[in-house]
Amino acid sequence: MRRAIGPTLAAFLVLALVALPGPSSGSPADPSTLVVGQNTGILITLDPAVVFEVEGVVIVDQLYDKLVDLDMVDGKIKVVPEVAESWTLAPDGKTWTFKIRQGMKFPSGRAVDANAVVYSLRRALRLNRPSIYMFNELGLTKDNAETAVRMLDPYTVQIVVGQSFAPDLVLAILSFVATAVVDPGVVEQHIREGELGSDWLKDHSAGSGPYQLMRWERNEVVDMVAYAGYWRGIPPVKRIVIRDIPEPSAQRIALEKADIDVAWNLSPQMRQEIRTAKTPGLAIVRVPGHGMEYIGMNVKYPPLAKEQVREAIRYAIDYKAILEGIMRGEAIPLQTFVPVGYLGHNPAMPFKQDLNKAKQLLAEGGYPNGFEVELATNAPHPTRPDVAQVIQNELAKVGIKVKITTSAAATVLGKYREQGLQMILYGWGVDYPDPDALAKPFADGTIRQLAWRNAWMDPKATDLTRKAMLERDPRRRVALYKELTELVAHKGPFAILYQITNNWVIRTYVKGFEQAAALGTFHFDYTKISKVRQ
Amino acid sequence: MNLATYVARRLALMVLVIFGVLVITFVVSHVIPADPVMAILGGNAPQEKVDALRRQLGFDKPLHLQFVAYMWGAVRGDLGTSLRTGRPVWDDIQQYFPATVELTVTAILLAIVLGIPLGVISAARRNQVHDHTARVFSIVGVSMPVFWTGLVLMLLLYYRLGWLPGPGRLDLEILPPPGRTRLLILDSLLAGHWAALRNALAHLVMPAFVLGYVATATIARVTRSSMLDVLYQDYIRTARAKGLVERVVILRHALRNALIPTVTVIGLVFGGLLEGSVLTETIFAWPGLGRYITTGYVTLDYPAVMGGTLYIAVVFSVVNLIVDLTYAFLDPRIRL
Repeated sequence: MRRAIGPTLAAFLVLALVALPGPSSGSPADPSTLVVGQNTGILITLDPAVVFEVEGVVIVDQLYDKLVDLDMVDGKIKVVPEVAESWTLAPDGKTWTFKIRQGMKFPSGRAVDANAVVYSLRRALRLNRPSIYMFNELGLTKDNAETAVRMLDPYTVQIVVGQSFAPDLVLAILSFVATAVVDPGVVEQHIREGELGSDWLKDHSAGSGPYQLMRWERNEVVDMVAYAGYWRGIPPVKRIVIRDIPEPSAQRIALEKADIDVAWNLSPQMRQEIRTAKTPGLAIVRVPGHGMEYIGMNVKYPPLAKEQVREAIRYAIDYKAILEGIMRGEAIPLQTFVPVGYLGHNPAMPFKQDLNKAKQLLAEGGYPNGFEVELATNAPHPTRPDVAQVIQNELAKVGIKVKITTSAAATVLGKYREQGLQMILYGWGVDYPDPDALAKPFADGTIRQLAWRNAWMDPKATDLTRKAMLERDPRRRVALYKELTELVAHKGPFAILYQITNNWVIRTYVKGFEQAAALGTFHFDYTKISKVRQ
Repeated sequence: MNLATYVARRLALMVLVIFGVLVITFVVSHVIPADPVMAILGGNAPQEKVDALRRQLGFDKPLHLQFVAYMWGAVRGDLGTSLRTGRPVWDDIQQYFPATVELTVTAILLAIVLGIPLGVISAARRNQVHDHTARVFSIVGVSMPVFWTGLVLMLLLYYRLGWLPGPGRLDLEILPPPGRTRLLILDSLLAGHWAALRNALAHLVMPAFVLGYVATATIARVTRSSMLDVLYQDYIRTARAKGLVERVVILRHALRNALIPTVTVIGLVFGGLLEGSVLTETIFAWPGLGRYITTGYVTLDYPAVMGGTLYIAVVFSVVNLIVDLTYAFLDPRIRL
C-alpha cells in the first residue's frame, strides 16, 4: 500500500505543479477584443426569425443588418435607414416602397439586395414563431407573405400592410430583428426537409452585420469577429467574446480582476456597493429601459370596481420611497404608460402620497373603513417582494389590509391571464418601440391583455387606442396619446410605479458603452465601443 | 445464490429503481402549480399563441396519457424535446454530460488522494495536533455550503493570489482541441495539445476541490474510524510485538483492512458528487449537466429536468451496480 500511495501522491503533485499557470491567464489584454461576462444560459437560438429573448436579440443585432434601424436622437427613439436607404408611403397609407442600399455584400460575396430582403422577411413570416405576432398585427402573416412582401426590381422592395397605420408604428415594428437580412444562398444550403434552415441558423450566422459568429458553445462562450466587408467599415473592437458566467458574484470577481471588460448581470445591491466604494477602474452605465413596473387592480373585485377606490390607492402609494429606498435611484419616475424616449411620452406626475385625499376618496367610493385585498407578485425577484411590502404598509395607513401572495412568475401569469387576481405587482416589457405597444395592453380592454386581465373596459380608451394606431400625422398622434394616457392614469386599473433602467458595470477603459447601449435591447451597437488601455 | 442469479436480481432491481425515478420526476414536475407554456412565452404573448402552444406540446391531454407517451418515448431512448432550447433532450445531455464527468471524476480522485492519507494520519496520531487539524478540516468540509467555499476560494486563489484561473473550462486564448470525446483532458491528450491540457487541468483544480471537499471529509472520517478499529486488533499488537517499524504496521498491516469501509463510502459519495455538481457548475461557469438541469428548473423546462435527472439516476445506478458486483465477486459472503 505504501508503494501505491506514494507514487499516486507524487504524480498528483507534479500534475498540479505543471498545471499551475501564471497569474495573468484569461486576461483580455488585447485592446481589440472585448470580453463580456454574462449569463448566457438563457440563450436559445440566434436565428433572427425566431429569437425573442433580450440577450439573443442583442447578439443577433451584431450579426445582421435589418431593413431599418433605430437610433437615439436628442433623447428620442427614431427609426433610421439601414439596409433600406430610403422609403416612401403611397397615398393609400398601406403600400410601402423601400429603396435598398447598393454596394452591401454578404461574406459569401453575394449582394445584399431586394431578393435577399424579400427572402428573409417571407421566411420569418412563414416560420410564424411567437415574435412574429407584431407583424401579424400589421396584417403581415404567413398566409399573405407572398403577396404582401414583393420585389419590384433588384433594389426595390414593396411591403403592403393591412391598414393605413401610423407610419412610425410600421417602421418601429420593421426595425425588429425578424427583418434581419439573411444570405439566401447560405441558408438554402442548410435547409432540411420541413424546416426553413432554423436548425442551422440557431448557432451559425448568415448576415452582413458588423460581426460574424465564430462559435457558440452553449453555456460556455459566444465568439464573434468583425466582418472585414462591413459596409460602414470595420469596428474598433475586432472580436467580441461573451463568456458565460452565470453567478453574479463570480462575474464581479472576474470584472474586478479585469478578466472581463463588462459585467452584464450584477445585482442592484452589488452596483450600489461599487458606487459607494468608488472602486477604481470600474464604471456604472445606466440607460432608460423599455418597460415599467405597475400595480394592476382587477375591477371584478367589488372594492376595486369603484373608480374612487382605485384613485385612492394611487394617492396612498409613496412613489418616492420606492424609487429611492428600494430602487436606490436606478429607476425613472413614470406615472403614465408611455415611457421616456418614446413618441407621445407624457411627463405628467399627477400622484404623490396624500393620505388624507386617499381616505376622502375611499369614503366617496363607499369604503371609509377600507377593505381586504390580495396582492400577488412573483418570487424570487430582486425588488418586487420589497416593493410589495412598502405598498402593504402604505395602504394599511388608509385602512386597506393587503395580503401579499408570492409564487413563481409563470404561476402568477397563469392566474392573471384568467382575470383571477385581485391586485398584482408586475412589470411590462415593450416589444416594439412605439406608444402603440403600450396603448394596446394598457388601454384597450377588447384585446386580451393587461387592461382585460384587470377586467377593465372603457369604450373611449379603446376608441382612442385605435385612432392613435391609425393616425398618420405625428402631431395629432401625440395629442391622442396625451388624452389617452391621462384617461388611463385616472380611470384605468393601474398604478404605474416607475420606468426601469438597464444597468451594466464596465472597466473604465471601455469607451462608448453608453452610446452603444442607449437603445438597450432594441438596438445594441457594439461598433460604438472601443478599448483604451491606460 | 450464485453470481449469475445475484447479477440478474440486481439488474431487475435497477430497472425498478429507474422506473421509480421516472414516476417521481414526472409526478413532481406535473403537480407543481406552474405553467411551462407561460414560462416559454412570457407575459406579453397573446392568448391564441398560448392556447396553440399548449395544444402543440400536448399539455391539453390528460396526465396519464402524457405519462404513457413519455414512458414509451423513454423506453425507446427518446427523452422528448426541451421546451426551452427546442432540441432533443438526449442531444443536450450528450453535449453537457462530458463536462460533468470530467469534473466529478477529478473531484472523486482528489477526494481519495486527499481523504485517505488524512484519515490515516488522524488515526495514527490520535488526539494530537495532526488529528485535530484534520478533524477541523473535515467538519468544515461537511458543514460549509458549496457556493460559499467556492466563492471564498475564488476570491483567494484567483482574485488575490492569481494562482489559478477564474470561471470556465479554458482560457480565451486557448483554442479547444478537436472534440472527439468532449472530455477536454482526454481530447487534449489525444491531440497532443499540451497548452490546452495544462490550461484545462488548471481550470479543473478549484471546482474539483470544492466539489470533492465534502467527499474528502467523509472519506477522511470513515478511514480514521475504521483505522482506529483495526489498530486495536490483536494482529496489529502482534505485528508491533514482532518489532516492526510503526510505519510498516500502519501502512502494510492496518490500512489494507481498514480500507474496506472506505471503498464502500467512495461508491456512495460519488452519487452525492453528481448532485453537488449542480451548484458547483453554476459558480464556476462549468458547462455541465447540473447547470442544464438547474436552468431547466428555473424555466419550467420539464422534459430537460426529467431527462437530465433520469440520466443521472441511470449513471448512478450503474456505478453502484459495478461497485456491488465487484464486492460480490471479491467477497462471496455479500451475495447471501
